[in-house]
Amino acid sequence: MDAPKVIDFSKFNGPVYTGRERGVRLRAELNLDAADTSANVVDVVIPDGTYTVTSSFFLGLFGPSVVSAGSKDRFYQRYRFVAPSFLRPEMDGYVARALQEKNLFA
Amino acid sequence: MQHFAKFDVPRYLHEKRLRKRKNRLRRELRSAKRNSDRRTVESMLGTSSKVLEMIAGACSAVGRQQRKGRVAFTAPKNFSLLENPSETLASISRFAADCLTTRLKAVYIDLSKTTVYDAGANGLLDVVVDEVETLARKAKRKIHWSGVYPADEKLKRLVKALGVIKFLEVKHEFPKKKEASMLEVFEVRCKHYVRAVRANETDKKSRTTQKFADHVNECLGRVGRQLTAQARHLLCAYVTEVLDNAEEHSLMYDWTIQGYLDTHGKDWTCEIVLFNFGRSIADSLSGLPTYSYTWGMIAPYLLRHGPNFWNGRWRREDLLTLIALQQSVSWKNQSKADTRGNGTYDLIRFFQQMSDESNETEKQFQPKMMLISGTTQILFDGKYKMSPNSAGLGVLAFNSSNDLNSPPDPQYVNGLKQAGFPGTLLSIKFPLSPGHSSTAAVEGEASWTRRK
Repeated sequence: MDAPKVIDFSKFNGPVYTGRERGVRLRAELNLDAADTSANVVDVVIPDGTYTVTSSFFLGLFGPSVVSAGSKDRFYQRYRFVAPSFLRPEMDGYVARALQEKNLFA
Repeated sequence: MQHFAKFDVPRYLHEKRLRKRKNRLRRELRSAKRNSDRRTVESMLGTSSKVLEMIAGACSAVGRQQRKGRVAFTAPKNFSLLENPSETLASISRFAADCLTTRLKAVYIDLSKTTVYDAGANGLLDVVVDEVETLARKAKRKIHWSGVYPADEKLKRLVKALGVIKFLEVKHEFPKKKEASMLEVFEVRCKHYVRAVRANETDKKSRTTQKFADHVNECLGRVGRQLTAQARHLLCAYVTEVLDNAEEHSLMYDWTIQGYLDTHGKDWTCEIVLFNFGRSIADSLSGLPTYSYTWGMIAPYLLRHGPNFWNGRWRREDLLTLIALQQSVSWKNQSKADTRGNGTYDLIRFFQQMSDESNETEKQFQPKMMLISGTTQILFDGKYKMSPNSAGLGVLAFNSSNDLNSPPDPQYVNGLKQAGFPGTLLSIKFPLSPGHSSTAAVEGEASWTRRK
């Protein structure tokens, strides 16, 4: 097994990480589609001074990985997050949203 | 030494003609280049303002004074998008239509009758003024601007700090240093029609959001408070999702964000307004084909409450705007695997959190948020709350059972009768308690004129 791939948010301009399109572009640049098919673990490091990581950016970046993982556990086995405490539950919510049943009239 | 004109007249005349011809050619060349540059700019940007035309809508200037190039705008008594959106939008539409007259010479803005004035109405008026002034600058014309302030000192300060005075740079009418030190003002307009998204770079939207969060922190700092990291995240998510939605769905990159806090007096009110021009929320959904994934998701709602043989109460635009607020509804979703449609969910969540906190600490009034998109207005005041349905999806049906199978409350969701907004606008107002009184109002003149 290779060394884990590291995605360090401090390398991308912050502290506001927003926009679906930016997330999708970053995903393509980091080649996460290929990372999803390999057995390697990905470490995601979000710096302390971050103001926000919005759901649109997060799901643009990790959305297809969450959907292809099929469950929270499997996603977190592959993607390990080191993030400020206020962002952890938020991002967990984003992961849940990606996996949610989409029935408005339930 | 004698000048050769004295002894060689033909040579002198020949050289003089040559010089004149050279200068004429140079002038013609310069003028051709200038005209070509102007034509290029005009062919790309047009000779009129698209935004002004959109605000004017179906209104047209018909008065004699307008034809002479003199426009007078009298704001209604209740000039507020939160409290009187229909009349406010109609008055701004008429003003924009009047300003579209060719050879505009003088504009008079009368706010003397206005007793209620909010940042939303002010923001729209600013855009009209900005567009008219930009057009005049491009055409190398000068417009004579004048007007009358509202009688209320508080409203007068808003006009000076964030209104037409600021936009027209009427420096002699700017708030005095002492007065300005008690105001927190934030204003950004993005007029860039080319959007370049880069993975490694922050865009204007992100930078504006960061500055806006710092602005709100400065406002809160005045009452000895500070946004927690969690609240700052929610605020940033709120602002940025609204701007992102504006850019992605309206198909026009023209957005404005304004924030205002006046700390004179005892009751402090923080106002935020965000708006963009382009397609409305209902427009972006109504363009979907009936076989699409999202249409399948929202069609039952339209069938249940839309205009039909038995019930003609609900307009399709109103229902489309309301259903678009629900979690996971986005015209860009094409299958269950798509994860769009969370922006408005975050926005409503932020407002609800603020409303709940206000309930505990502030007793002056409840925070209010008005969403206007096209000809639909939706009011948020904390009465109806978004909550997860049995599938876990955030739903806000605007009825007591919070059930999309029941119709919404017409007090909160309804159509604008007189005029709409060509895009989407969010206006929000919430109280801040300073816990101490401040200095008295600063006296000044009742009217203003821009000096040339």
